[in-house]
Amino acid sequence: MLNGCAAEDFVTTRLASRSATVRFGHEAGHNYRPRCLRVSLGSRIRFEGPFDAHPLAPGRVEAGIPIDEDTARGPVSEVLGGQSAEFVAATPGRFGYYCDSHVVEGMMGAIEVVESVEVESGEVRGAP
Amino acid sequence: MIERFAIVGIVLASLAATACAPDENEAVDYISRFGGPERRWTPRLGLPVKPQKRPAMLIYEVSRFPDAVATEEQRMAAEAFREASMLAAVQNGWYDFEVAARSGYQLMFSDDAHYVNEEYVFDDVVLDPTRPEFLMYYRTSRGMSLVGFMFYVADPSHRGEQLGGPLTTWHFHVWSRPQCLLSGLLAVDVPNLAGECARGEPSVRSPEMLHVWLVDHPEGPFATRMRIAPEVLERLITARGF
Repeated sequence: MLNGCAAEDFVTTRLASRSATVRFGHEAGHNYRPRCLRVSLGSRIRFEGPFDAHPLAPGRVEAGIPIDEDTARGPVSEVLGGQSAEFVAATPGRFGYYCDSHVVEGMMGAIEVVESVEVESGEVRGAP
Repeated sequence: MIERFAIVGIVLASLAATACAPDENEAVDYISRFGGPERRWTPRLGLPVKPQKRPAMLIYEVSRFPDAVATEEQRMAAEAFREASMLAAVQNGWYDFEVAARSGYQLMFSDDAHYVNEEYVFDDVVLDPTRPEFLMYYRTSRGMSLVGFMFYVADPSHRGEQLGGPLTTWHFHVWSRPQCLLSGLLAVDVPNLAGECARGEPSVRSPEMLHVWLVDHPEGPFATRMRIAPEVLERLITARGF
C-alpha cells in the first residue's frame, strides 16, 4: 500500500496517448482524481488544479505524516502555485505524492510507472 | 419545516444561555493531532513549541471531553445547533452561491472551499448560526453546493465553546511557515522574504474553528475532515435534493 493505493487500485491510461491528467481541487475537492494512476514509461502526467490551495509534494505518507526519504527518482516534484504542472514518467516504479496542506486529511495519491501498459479501453478505467 | 426550525431556535437559545458558564475558558482541555489512525488525546500543554518542518499544515483537534460519551442534553444541543444552522442557510438564501457572495462571503486566501465574511470574523459574536464566519462550498454537478458552516472563536487566545460536548470538537491549524493573520484570526497573505506582512501579523497558528456540515458527512455533522470523496459528495447532494 502506497499513499492509500493498493496494487489493484491503480487505473490505467490509454497507451497510445502516453499522457494522463490528475485533477484536484474544484470539482475534485480535497482529492486527486484518479488517486492511483498507472502510466507507461515516458508518459506525460499533467496535474490540474489550484496549487496555491493544494501545494503538491512528492513522497510517501504514513499515518497522515510524510516520510522523509529521497524522492528524486519519482516523476512528481514540488509545485507551490499555478493551475497546472506537467511531469514525465522517466523511471519505472511506484511513487507517492500528496497535498502538503491537506495530507493529514488524506489528500494524497500515487503513480505507478511501468514499461508498458495493458490497455482495456480508451479512457481511464475504474477511477476511485 | 420553518415552524419546526423556529421551535429548535427557541430550544437552542435556552441551551446556549445555560452552556455559557463563566469558567468555560478555564477548563482543562486536550489536543489530538488529526490524521492518525485514531484520536490520542493529550493535555494541551503537550503541543510542540516549534512548528513542524513538514507537512505545511497540521491539524489539532481540541476538546474538554476527551473520550467522553455525549450526554442526552449535549446531543440535543448539538442537534439543535445544526438545525438552527440549516434554518439560517435557508432563510438567508445561502444555498444560492450568488446570494451568499452578495451578502459578503468571499473566497478565503489560499483556499478553494471556505468563503469568509470578514465582518462576522471581527464582530466578537461566536457560534451564531445567523452570522457564520465562513460558508463552505464544493463544486458538484449541481454547481456550487453549500455543504457547511465554519465558526471561529472571537480571539486567537479563546477556546471554542463545546455546545454539544464531545460531539462538537473544535480544531486549529499549525503551519510550517507563517501566514499573515489579521488580528490573529484571518489569514490574508504570506510574509515576504524578510518575514514581514503587508497586512496582518505573521503567525504559525490559526484560531480555533468548528465545522457544521449541512450534508450528512460520513464522519458526523461536526467532522473536522474537509475531504469527502467526490462520488460520496455527489450522493449526499443528490439525497439532499438541492
